[in-house]
Amino acid sequence: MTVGVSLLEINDLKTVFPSDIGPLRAVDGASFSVAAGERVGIVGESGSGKSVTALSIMGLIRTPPASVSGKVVFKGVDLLKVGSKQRQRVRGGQIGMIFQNPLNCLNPVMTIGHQIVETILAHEEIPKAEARDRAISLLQRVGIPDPSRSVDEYPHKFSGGMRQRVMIAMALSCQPDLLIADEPTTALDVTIQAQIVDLLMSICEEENTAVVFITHDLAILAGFAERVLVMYSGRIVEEGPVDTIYYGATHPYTWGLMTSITRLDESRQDRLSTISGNPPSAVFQPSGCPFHPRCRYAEEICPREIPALVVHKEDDHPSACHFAGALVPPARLRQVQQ
Amino acid sequence: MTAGLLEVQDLVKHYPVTRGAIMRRTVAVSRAVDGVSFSVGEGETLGLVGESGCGKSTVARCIVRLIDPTSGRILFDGQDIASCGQNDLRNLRRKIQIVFQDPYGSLNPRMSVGELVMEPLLFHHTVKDRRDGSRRVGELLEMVGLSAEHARRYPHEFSGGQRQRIGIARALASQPQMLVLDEPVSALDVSIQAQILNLLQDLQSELRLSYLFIAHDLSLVRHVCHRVAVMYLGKIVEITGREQLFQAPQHPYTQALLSAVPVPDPRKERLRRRIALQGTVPSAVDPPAACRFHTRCFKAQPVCSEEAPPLAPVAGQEHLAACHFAEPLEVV
Repeated sequence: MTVGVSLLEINDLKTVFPSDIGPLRAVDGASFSVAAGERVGIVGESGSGKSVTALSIMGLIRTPPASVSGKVVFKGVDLLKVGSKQRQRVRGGQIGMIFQNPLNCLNPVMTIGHQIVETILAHEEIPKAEARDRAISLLQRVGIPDPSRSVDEYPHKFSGGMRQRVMIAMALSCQPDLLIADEPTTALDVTIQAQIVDLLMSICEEENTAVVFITHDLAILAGFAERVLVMYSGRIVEEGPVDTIYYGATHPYTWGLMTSITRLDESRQDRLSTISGNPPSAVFQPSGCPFHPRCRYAEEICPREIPALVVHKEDDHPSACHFAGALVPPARLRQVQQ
Repeated sequence: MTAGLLEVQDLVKHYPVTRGAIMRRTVAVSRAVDGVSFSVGEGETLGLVGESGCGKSTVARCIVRLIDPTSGRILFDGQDIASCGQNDLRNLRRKIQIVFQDPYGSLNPRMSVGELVMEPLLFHHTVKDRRDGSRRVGELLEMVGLSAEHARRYPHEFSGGQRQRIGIARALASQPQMLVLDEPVSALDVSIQAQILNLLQDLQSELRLSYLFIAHDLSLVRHVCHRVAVMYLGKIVEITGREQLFQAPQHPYTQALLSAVPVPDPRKERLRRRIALQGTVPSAVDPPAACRFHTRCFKAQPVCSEEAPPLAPVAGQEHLAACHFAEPLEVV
């Protein structure tokens, strides 16, 4: 784990959307930090609040109607307290973001060069020609073939993987300190996914850009992240260095995620273990621990009290379970943990 | 190899590429599927894997004749799906059904779940009347892990996983012998994926169903399938039993594909070496000559661009690969 001054400090982030049937708590008190140059993975299923967390950090949630509270401290400044002008300078300037579907994020009637130049000029006062030169070198950096010609092409000319590279080039255009990648490879084939992950890795290492990688796929994070946060129902339920989470997880939800996936590195299971039921709705959250209706270890305290994300034993990592450290993980996980 | 329930022989599907709106003319053909042969036995699951654009979904749609193949034969229980008339087709479709990837797009939002499952029952005359139908709808819903009361609700009231169960109930309504599963779980969360995979497994052993399982996720395919075919640009490049394919893949493309699949184990991931492929998949309109993979292959030699390697036995009669330099390599 990279030890350094935190670049980003999230404290008790709550993002609530109004809805006809009551307030929808998409993010419900998430706290975490990201150090400079660190690679952090956030894993969770759909509806766990991982994307809304990213959008809240970026200031891309319209308030009102939604409300975003808590603290988002980036380089010592609370982004939730500053005005929209300053917010805009940070967004795209010091924090870059890439999304799952690059085609939806690129304007189909503008050349990719034009779109990158537009981003650069929104943040820096430099001559257009210089911005264009930078766009070309960015395209080169992210591995677009023949960048000085590609810069004048339209998005439809590129394949899915190449479009994602264009998005990365755009996100990097103002040398951000932090890059948030929201499911950047979910729409891509595995071979292309491997290329994009390698690219993000090299960017992180060479430019010391911190990367927050949001995904539902535990396998991708194993090779990429230094630290992993597990999200469930708008909260972070477990966090720790990558090895700790993969070999020493203590939260039953993390166990459930790990044992319900098919994996190539183990002998084939005849039957997959499952997490029963469905993820809870963000409107009607269960009382107490949000995972208790699906948890096979649930006891009488679980529906009554929300477990805090705290360290239970010395030298251990934070886990939001009343019984963290006291439960025995499922057999299939114990094999991996050895 | 014994004759399977489904025999696909030299299946070809070419799409015309047209120019112009009024004076429309064909300027080229896209060879989406270009000579694919395989068989699926009774009670067997064959996996069809490959990256997007390799033609795997086109094969699926040809098999249930949602699109007409350009040439080739698709024998189901001895009858040719590819060339039969409307009446025979109706009868064949009773025995072979398809489940789609998107559980949101494949169910009519204006029909209740009961109506959705009833529709194929009435269409195929599997039930005497509506009352008999309602009883059968209840049975089918319970078979896929829902309850009979769900029949009155509408698709939007269900989660993705439950909708996929409805799709499966609908496919099972006509008591088919075979299901074509086109990426049935890729739109679902991992914890829900496992539930659906277990359901499919149970249904298979209960009803002795055959599956053609189309997917891009190789670890899923290994879990579900007995045999696996790997497609690249409209052709099968390797086909064999599950264990052989994952332990000793012979074709360089299969090897590259397997090496790109991440494993959820940080220590192993740090030690793993990926086989990086050059560039992206070429267009099916003008595929590379001879071996279609040679432009991206790490083993390519001059012969690869001159002579197309046949899909031939490489290690035993059941393990076929289309490569001049087929050789096993452990990659996982």
